Amino acid sequence: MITTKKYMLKFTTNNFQEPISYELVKRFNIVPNIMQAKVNESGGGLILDLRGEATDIEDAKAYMEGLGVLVKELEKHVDRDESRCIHCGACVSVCPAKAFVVNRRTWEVEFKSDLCIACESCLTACSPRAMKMELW
Amino acid sequence: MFTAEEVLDLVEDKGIDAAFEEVDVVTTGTFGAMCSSGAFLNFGHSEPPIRMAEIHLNDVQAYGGLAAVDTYIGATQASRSRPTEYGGAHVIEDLVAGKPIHLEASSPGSDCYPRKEIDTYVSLETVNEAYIYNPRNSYQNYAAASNSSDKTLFTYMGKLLPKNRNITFSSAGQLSPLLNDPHCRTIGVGTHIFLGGGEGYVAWQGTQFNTSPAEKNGVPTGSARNLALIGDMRGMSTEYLRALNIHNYSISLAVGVGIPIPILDKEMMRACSIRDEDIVAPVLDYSVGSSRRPVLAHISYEQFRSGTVELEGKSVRTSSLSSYKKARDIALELKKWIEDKEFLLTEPVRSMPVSSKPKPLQISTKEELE
Repeated sequence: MITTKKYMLKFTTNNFQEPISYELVKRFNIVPNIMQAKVNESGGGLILDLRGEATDIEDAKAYMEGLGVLVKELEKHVDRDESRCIHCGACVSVCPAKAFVVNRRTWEVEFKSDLCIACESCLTACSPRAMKMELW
Repeated sequence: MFTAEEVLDLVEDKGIDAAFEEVDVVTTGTFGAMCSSGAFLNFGHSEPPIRMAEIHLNDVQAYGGLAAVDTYIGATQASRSRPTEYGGAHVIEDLVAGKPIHLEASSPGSDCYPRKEIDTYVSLETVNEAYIYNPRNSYQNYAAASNSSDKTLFTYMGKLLPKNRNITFSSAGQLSPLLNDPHCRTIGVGTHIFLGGGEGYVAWQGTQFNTSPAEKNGVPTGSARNLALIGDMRGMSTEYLRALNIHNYSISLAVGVGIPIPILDKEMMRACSIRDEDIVAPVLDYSVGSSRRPVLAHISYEQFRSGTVELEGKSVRTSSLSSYKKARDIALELKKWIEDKEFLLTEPVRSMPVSSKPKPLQISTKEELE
């Protein structure tokens, strides 16, 4: 069964030069969709979608973990504090992934976290400070 | 009893004349950032007493130029230690939430007020009077914002993406109090209102009260009238009084305001049947750092609220900065209060100005003004 899952990968200085995306495609038949990448003195990280057979994704995970890469599934990498959200809509137009949708019956702003690409644009648009993201 | 939204279907079905026979009161609501807000507090006297000259509440400076233990805390005042995180609006929200607030005050000391320093905790329960007094709230319409420059701007109209890639707007439109009584026929000094989840009154005309913007469909097409509001903090709720951190701009306070409008005659019925499609606001270019910003377009709230509008031939996404959901909640809540006979309407004791236009601040010498 083909699924798409969102992961955060953390690299150390020992493994950050491994051609991981190439291997994901070539060996595991996975379509990686990289949303964020960073490199720093202690290694780096990737935030990406992996699309493929569930068993292939599991095998790919085992391969990456074998290299010492920390693999963390991201279900909710950006979180909305519902007690702070006032459903204004300031986030709606600044989100490139269109993850915020105004329900035109209730006028509530719905957050579709599966569409979120972790760009952090909403964090500085949200004045009640309802949007929170702790990734790295 | 209808909200300003519910009444629209009735007017559409039956027309103004028949609706007028059926409707006694229309309730309105708005919930958005209102920077010109704050609260008066009286702490009571300590033993020995102090005339507080320098006052901080949770590290946010409050005004020390009133009598010994009176103060005013302004919503946008930033705290000393966490200026971008916490400010006067947070103190107000925390007070309303019933949280303890750290009070530090100092004084030179005098014969009648010998104490020079005090460091204690207060709460909404321990203080004497605690009332919101907001000099400028509940704007009648407000200009929308866009940004034609190459970089993202952070303004009091929110985050504006480069090259006019978004537009922000801030009005409850067809639910907004002053858009349903555009010439203040029923709203005046003394009007009993919903304020911050509790009860309040219209205290005065708001600062920069402006009757001059051009009208379309009977309502102003730009930032026009507004109200000074007063109300007891006791009874208010953090649901309708919420601290905001407007990124790279300032702390602010989102205030919930609801005003009942008595349908005195058919003209009031017509005024309260205003729809988002009839209310227009200018889109100003905030990349121009001047108080005279160019107008890029005039767009209706129906279009703003649809999520995308056409600007200079391009499809542009929009964001509301005020909460239409909360505005609706407020109008419904106020309607319920009136239906349950918990809230009585008042007749104003003084009318709002018929003609008023704010003056700009000129840079003048002393001699020029003598």
